[in-house]
Amino acid sequence: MSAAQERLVVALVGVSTPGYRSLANAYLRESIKSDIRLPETWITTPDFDTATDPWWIAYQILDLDPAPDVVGFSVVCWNARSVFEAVRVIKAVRPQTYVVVGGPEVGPLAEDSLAEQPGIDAVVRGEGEFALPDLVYSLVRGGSPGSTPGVTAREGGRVESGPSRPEIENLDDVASPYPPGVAIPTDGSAYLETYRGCPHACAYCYEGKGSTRIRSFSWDRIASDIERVASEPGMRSISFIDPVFNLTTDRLRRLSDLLAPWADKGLRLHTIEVDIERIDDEQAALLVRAGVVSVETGPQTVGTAALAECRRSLDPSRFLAGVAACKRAGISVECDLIIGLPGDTAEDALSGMRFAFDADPGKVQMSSLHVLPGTDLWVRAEELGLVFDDRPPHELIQTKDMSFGDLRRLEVLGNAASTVYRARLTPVTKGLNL
Amino acid sequence: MIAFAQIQLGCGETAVCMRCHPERAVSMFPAEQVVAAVGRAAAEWGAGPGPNVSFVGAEPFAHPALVRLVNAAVQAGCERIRLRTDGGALFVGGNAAGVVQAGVRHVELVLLAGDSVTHDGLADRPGLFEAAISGAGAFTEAARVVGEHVSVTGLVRVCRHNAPHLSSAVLALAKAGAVSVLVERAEGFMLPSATLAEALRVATVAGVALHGDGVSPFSAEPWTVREVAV
Repeated sequence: MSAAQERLVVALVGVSTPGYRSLANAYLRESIKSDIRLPETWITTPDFDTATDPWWIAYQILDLDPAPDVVGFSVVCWNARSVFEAVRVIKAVRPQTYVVVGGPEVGPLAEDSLAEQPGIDAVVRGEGEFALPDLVYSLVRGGSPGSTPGVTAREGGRVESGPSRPEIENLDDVASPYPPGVAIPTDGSAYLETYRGCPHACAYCYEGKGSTRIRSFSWDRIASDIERVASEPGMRSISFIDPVFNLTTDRLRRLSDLLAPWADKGLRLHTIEVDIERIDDEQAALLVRAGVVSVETGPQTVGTAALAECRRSLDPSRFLAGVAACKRAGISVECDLIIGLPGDTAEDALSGMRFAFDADPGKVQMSSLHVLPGTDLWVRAEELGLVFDDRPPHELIQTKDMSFGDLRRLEVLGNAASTVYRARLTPVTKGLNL
Repeated sequence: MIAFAQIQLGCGETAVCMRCHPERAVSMFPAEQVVAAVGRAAAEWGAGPGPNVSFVGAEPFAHPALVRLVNAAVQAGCERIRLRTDGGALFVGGNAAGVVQAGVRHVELVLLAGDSVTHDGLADRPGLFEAAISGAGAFTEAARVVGEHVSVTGLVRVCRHNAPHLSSAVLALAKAGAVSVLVERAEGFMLPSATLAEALRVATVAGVALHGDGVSPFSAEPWTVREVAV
């Protein structure tokens, strides 16, 4: 984009796992729309899933009328290959399209991403709600995208990086992804978050970015977003993307107070992430009151060496007590296990499976480690002996303690055990009168 | 992992090699005895996911009281009910939908080989292989229609007549949707280690957990059994 222009057409494209929808693009759309510097910007947010052929994604973007000047993608390890392929086609057909990407797959690797993906013009590093409007504004006035804080961009034949942008201090400054008067595109469910950051700093996870700092939306904002989403006609469930929904009992009580009136009307919360070791009968009751029907938790591993390497803790008795409290309250628990964490042997992985199945939580989900950009494991991979695919989704190939073959056999064993475990009579079907 | 109480429905295992067992006789245990065994299994279950029962031995669809037996398992509080079957009857009429509705969530499909000529020849049942594969598909489809999770697992009994067909049987079971395959060696038969290694490779690539005595490279199996006397 060489000349300054008054009006931009922006397409923020979501490429999500089937059944999911991009919350990031809703945030970014509202951030641009609420920026008084960009009154003439026209935004669309088409949603696709990773099962869609990237050429078909490109076709639909290229077929938009008016044609987008800027196309943005939020990139995670799961959609990266699709996004890069779609970008390649879009740029081949319409080279003047300015392509900007952000998200955990590219933000920590901004310069590498630009080097490896010639179709990408700019990478937003970190949170995009202010960086992207600044970048768009820079494009509108014909400025220098590469000097935008939080952005790395091509400038002529070079790659320039603007200064790093601090984390957004007051999250209430971020425009709500669900503004009043705008219909929520929904199939009966929507996403919300009440804070950013994570109280844990697990070495494999990008969520806390190595920090345990929590930044919360105000209670007024949280109440407003819940009210807005829950009152949407046809809304049946909300998925909170908070890394730990039950941070404290007081916080959980306030959330429960806000959600209970909607739960009484049938709104349900599915697969919210919890710290299971904090859950006692009181917390379980608060979860039920909030409409929670299922929760997701670790332990990820039970191996002491891997727990130490990943900076995680596990108290097996408290974990089991938390699962039992949820089950007493009628809440289904999904236990997650990661195969191949550094320090784990095959026997540790099997011990983890036995622990999870013996807990009888309702669902056990196992997956091999993905070594994600920006995580501690990504930085320390060589030191820890982690061999992984450098292409997204960065699947683990082998570790010091698990061979390639062991990992593949553990994957199929885990899948078989999970499938056999999950196939059971539920309380409803058990009551079937034959 | 996940245990099943294994309960015999009768004598004369389903889908065996008729060259090894030319005089195989089939008889069914009275329903009352089986129901009592189910009750004992459920009452004595203890900790861990369950109770779970697996009906083995004679072909379940040949048992005149199959519906009553499954119903008894449901009423006893069993969470997982499995049928070990040659699969032939699953594709017949509404059998697949019927067992899903009754409460069966697991089918253990018995194959002797991965092709119809060998399998049907060894079982002395023309058409059984195609019926078994179709039956497994009918079972998973019937569950999908009503939104229930089910599992298909496999059993390959290996003897000197079908050992070279172990890998093809595993592959056929994988294609039929099996997530694990139990290898059971005929009494006194030594399975060549190269055959076993090849089967393990084929299974892993096909996404199937191969297990059985001396098969799995790990000290854990996707599911185990507890024998319950009838």
